[in-house]
Amino acid sequence: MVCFAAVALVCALVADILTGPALLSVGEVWTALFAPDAADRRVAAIVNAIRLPQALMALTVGAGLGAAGALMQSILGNPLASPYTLGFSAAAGFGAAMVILSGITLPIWPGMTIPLAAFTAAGIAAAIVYGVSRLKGASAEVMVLAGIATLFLFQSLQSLIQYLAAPEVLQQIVFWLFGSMGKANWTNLPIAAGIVGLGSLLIIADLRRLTALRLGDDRAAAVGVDVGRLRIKIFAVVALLTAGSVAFVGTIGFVGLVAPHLARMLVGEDQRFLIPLSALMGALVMAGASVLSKTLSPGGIIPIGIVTAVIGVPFLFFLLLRGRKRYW
Amino acid sequence: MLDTQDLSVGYDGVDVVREANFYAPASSLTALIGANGAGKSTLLRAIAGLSPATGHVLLGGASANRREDIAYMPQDTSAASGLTLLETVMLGRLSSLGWSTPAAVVDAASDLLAQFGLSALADRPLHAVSGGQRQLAFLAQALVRAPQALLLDEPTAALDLRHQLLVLEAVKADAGRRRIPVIAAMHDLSLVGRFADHVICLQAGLVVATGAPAVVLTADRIAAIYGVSAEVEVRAGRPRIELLSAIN
Repeated sequence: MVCFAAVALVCALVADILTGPALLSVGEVWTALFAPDAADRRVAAIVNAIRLPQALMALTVGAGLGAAGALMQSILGNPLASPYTLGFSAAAGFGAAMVILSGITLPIWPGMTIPLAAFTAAGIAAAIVYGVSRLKGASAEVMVLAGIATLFLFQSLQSLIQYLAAPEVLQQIVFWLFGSMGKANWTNLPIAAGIVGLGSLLIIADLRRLTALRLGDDRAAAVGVDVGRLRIKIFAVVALLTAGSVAFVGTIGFVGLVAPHLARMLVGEDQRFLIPLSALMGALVMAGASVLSKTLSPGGIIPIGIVTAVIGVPFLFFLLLRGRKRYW
Repeated sequence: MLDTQDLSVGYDGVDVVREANFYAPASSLTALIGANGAGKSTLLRAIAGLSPATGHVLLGGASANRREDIAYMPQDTSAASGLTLLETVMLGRLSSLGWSTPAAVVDAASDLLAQFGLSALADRPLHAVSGGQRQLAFLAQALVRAPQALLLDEPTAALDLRHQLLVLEAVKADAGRRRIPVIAAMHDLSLVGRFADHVICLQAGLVVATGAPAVVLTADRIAAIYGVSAEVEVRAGRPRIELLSAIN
């Protein structure tokens, strides 16, 4: 399984790096990657400064959203849950839209203004849901209700900002909300990878307890799980993973919903395998969507957030209708 | 033997169970009976250490570490996840499970599945077996940690007649084999009369009677507790109960 995962990831990465509006040949890309001094400077710049960080960001964000989606489905006991169910993404969009509208930039690190605003807003949304849920024992029902309310709140605020924005500012906001790997670079990639890596490390010790939670709150408590505490901790990790992903590339839909279902069909409910495989599936789906976003419109790039949603909806329908085997 | 001393449980300042004092003998099945809302599930959860409570729970005369020593099987039979029966049973030993699964846990879980006739279904997901088989798997999950006492919340609810008998026969046999007290919240008085060795009767949060089934399950008590008229005949020391009608 580990070998298969490694091979699949490498293939996806290679395919992603090979495609792009510059229509470079395999040989040119190979030379730029492994002998940059011998490559044409323009080609080397395209491959190493644009395509490579974008392809790695697609894998990172896909892994983060895939794992976050599986975690969310497990703690809420709901197959329709995704990293965006509780409003983190809407809040991140609001944060980004706020700074785009206001024109505020950080004096020290201006390029990080929007990601930081998006991350902070997602953190505020998480704090709201956390606060309400904590008061009522952190049950799945209360968490969903608090999250949906937060989602609508930030969606409304986001709409208000779009309504107030001048047309050129509105265009910037909408482009950010689409989700695009075009925002990835060697500066924000390590930060996103660090956040996703940290989130993954934080949950490793809880995977067995998460498996027990799939039997329901009462049964999990009966075998020794502190259900409220576990749910709150995983919720915080999901917030971290989602905010860390969305802040740098914008809203990417459906990966966090579909990847866990794909993984579940392969390995079942044991969270020791489901969570890592969901991350892998998320990375593969994102890489696939990234390739499609660059090949559907030769010479141009469709924002990846549009592609994931367009391929995600029919795929989800296929999963729902496909068949006899029940996997949730 | 399991003893409770002045055990009280409440939510939001209101006592649901008040100063419960009773015992459940080892190697036997104790039925906890009472109408809906009498506090049976609340009492079981408190004994298991899953709800905050005042008072004491003793095992063999010594104070019990309730979360460790006492296994509890909740009422819900709808937990139909994609976990296999073997995985489900092994989760009963959650504290022993790290990233890898110790062979001893696999063996203990497999033995219990074999004991309940579920070996052939060990790799089936929970949602692909019958409610009775699922209930037996959950019973195995409670037993796999080798508890010193076992609490079951309506273990035969939603089961067909055959599986009701299979589950209770398995419970009784296991109580005898392990020499542990088993307390089961039960509604079906004919099953209580047939299987229970001891009965605790709960009414509006108070323990109103305890003792042998033939002593506790009288027509007057059934009328007082459930609002139902019944005929009770004691044969070979066991009550046989025929419910007649609801009392207006």
